[in-house]
Amino acid sequence: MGRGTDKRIDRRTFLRGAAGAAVALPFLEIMRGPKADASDDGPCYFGLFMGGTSIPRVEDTVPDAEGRGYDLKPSIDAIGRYPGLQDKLSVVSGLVVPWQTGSEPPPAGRVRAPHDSVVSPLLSGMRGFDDRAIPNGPTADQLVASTMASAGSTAFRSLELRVQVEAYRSTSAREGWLSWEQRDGEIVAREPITSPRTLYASLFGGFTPEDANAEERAQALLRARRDRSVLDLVSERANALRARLGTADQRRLERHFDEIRDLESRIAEVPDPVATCVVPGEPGADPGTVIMPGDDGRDIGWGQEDMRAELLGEMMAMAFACDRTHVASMMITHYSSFMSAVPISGQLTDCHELGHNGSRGLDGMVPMYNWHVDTFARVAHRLDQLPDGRGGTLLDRAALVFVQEGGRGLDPSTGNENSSHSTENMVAFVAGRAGGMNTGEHHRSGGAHPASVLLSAMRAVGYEGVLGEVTGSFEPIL
Amino acid sequence: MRSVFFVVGVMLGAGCTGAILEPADDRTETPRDPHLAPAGPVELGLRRLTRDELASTLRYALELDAPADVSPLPVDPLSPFDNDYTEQQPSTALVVGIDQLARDLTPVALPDAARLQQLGDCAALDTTCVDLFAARIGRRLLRRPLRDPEASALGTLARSEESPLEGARLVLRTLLQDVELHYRVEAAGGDAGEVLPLDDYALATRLALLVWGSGPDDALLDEAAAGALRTAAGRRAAALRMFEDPRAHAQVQRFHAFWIGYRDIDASSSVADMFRAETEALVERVVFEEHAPWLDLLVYPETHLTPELAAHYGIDGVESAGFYPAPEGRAGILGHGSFLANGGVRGDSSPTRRGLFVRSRWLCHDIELPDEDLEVDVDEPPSSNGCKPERYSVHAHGACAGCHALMDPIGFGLEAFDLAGRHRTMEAPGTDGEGVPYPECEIEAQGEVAPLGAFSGPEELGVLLHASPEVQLCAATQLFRFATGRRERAGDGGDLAAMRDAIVDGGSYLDVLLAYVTSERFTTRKVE
Repeated sequence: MGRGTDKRIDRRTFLRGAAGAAVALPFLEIMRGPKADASDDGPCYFGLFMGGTSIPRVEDTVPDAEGRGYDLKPSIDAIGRYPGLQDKLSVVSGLVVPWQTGSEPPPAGRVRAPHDSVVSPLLSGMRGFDDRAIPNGPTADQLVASTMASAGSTAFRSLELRVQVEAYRSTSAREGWLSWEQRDGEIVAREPITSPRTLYASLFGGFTPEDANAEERAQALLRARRDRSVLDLVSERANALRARLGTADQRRLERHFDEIRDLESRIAEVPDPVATCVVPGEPGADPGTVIMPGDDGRDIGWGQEDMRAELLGEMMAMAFACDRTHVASMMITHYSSFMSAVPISGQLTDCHELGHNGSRGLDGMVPMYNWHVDTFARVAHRLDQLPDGRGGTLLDRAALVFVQEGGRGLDPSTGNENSSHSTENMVAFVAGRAGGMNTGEHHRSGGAHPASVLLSAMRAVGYEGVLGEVTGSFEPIL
Repeated sequence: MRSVFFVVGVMLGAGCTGAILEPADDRTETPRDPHLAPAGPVELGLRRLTRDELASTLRYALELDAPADVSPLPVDPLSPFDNDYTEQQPSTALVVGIDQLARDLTPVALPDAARLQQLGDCAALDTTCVDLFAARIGRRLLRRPLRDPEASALGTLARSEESPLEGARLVLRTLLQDVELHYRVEAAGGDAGEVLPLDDYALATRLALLVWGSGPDDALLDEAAAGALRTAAGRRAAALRMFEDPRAHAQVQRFHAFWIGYRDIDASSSVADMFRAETEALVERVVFEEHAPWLDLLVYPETHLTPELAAHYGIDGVESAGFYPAPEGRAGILGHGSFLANGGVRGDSSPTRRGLFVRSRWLCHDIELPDEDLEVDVDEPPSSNGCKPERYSVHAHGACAGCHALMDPIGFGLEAFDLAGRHRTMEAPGTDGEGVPYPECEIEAQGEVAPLGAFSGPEELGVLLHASPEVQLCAATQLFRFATGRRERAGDGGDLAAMRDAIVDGGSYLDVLLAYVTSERFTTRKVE
């Protein structure tokens, strides 16, 4: 804690420039021929984004107009920063996660406590019986990953990322976990990667720049050989240990062994040439975390999440473009986020407290919510800059969804109206045109479940099942 | 031997569930629940080293000047301890983080050939030196000697490089990613329920991770090799030696900080640092300097003040740093800002949260929501505009009453101290949900810990807790949780009773620790 970085301006300039004009900027490009074995349909991409926020005032957020050309309220005007994106990005408002009114939660509903109670119904479509931030079924991204994995493998079956680097005042690690899979009959978390540097090494460490000179190529070959040698022996030793373990211990470490095998495979792999792949420059050291005083005498933490969002977003887009994965999730902020609001909203408090500080706090929520939207929109725009080799862009082959923890309205646990602790008036954003998705419009959903919007995006990329207890998709999207 | 039993739900109100441990009233050896035998082998699963443990292990194994940078690894979930293996999850983030850590640390630990010769303890820079390096560092990192095939495989890897230094770097990268470095692998093999003896090196690791929060050093590994840790006397001698090491001081602070809640203090960093220093000084004095009865932490009559901290508390007459008689009403660790900063909501103390904190940390009571949809993070206090006791009086009715009767009265007894640890006589100002200011109210600060008795202020609460058998058992339980990396279960009664008895007999922290490490159960593992 307390470390800073002196590369902020340079890196930001680099990223902003990269997003605007990819061809002219200092990427290490490996533009090669199209992927040899790609089917006519080519791959689809699924992205799930989550924000630990509720919406600011409805009138600051929800467009007045429905359909195409919807107006961009101050909380969502980041969409307008990216030329042409609004035509491929839909806003679905008026969504509701139902809550318990009787002896138990309704299907795909939650208990009345706020915050983490929404996790299960929102992300897995399963009703939640508590507020422990553990879904009662696999999350949407993992259901899609299972479908896509059966259709063909990529280096990463799925990629889990998180922008907010620390829990800060929260002590619950679970509040930073978005993605959960079913494994041996249990629902287990897929912990996200938060380090841009580590993510870069994992995604692109094995790539060689096309314009590398002979010495650089020799060095790259040497590095690759060493990497393989080390991982071969690590894996061999892990297998030897595995054979010595009892059943229970083997089960506990199975995932670790699997991950070593995956890492070994990725390092051994020579990445397929992919026409759309543009490897970003190395991100350098991770942005440091700083502590700043809040207005209530307590410190609030900031890990330069604005820069992290840009770095991780760029790499997420390129992970799709370089065929490293077809499924990714990004947790932008923790549930009930204690990330500092100072750099984004200017208020000396954290994200969570913005929702409790009356009118002034709601004013601060506008830029904070808009930053979440921007993080989502930037990835969508980046994909829209990359041609898919078939006359469209990667965004035309993608289904990206951004949902949040809360909406605005009744807090059933207190009876308060116009509360941040509400799952009324929730908003979802859907970008992309995979599977013929109809995007670019504002829809007033009239109380539809946000998981139905997720299910639409899932079905757009080929998923044929249901999402927990949510069986119907949101039809205007698909 | 006095018996220890699990008593589920005793004294907890309707709808309020939890498990507490308490000594048997009748001192009988007959368990009330036949499944809860008072003694038995300790059931344990594989536990991953925490980030702190790994950083320290790498520091000493690789002879670094400071703990290794383990920032590529995911943070540890807190329970409140950082080593609960039932919460640990392998993940992509973990394994790619380990890979990154190995890449980062290798050139730091082996910057040049001279360093290789130092770590390998070899005069000539040749392949033999790399073999010596692998054997010496491998023994420290894996916490056991390398087996012949392992040494051979690492040697082959090293010889694939032209220079000894590059070969040694590959060896180190491999070891830094080894599963046995990152997990405490004890008595591998066996199926659920099977009781396996720990080998000498696993004993050394168990001892080192408990006493130091770090891997064993060469001396402890030598003792293991000589079989010295198989006897209670051997383990006692080793623990006493280790307790003199700076690593033991750091580990004692780490345990207390997680338990008592001063690791992450909810205050500005300058204030938090002062609070933490005050509490660390008291722990250091009670545990290491005086070897005083461990729970004297609760009633210790002096506290360590600096002029800045005294000024913060509003205490006069402190011109230099040192121990001073504790200010009136705040003797003992509960009078520290590090404790009083816990249990806040919206910038003011919450009697409920403070009560819950005392219950969970000092009495080991798990209080869960009786009805899962109860609100615990409300926009405004739960009742109409009035003084704080009136606003919280809604808790005295209906389904809430049972649990809140266990929590709120504790918090109200601490109300004369705010979250900044300062004494106050008037309630904090604020407004209700309609924006109407609260009335100005004097604080009564009358509290009760059911069923221990009434109190007013942290000092009196400390006295009550200090005399409580339940607190004595809870302190033993917290140390047991930290030692094993999990919560207590049926069958753990033997260890808990041994540690509790040491506390009852006025034992120091070291006495309690020794009671645990010298028990026969310390030498076995029951497979989960």
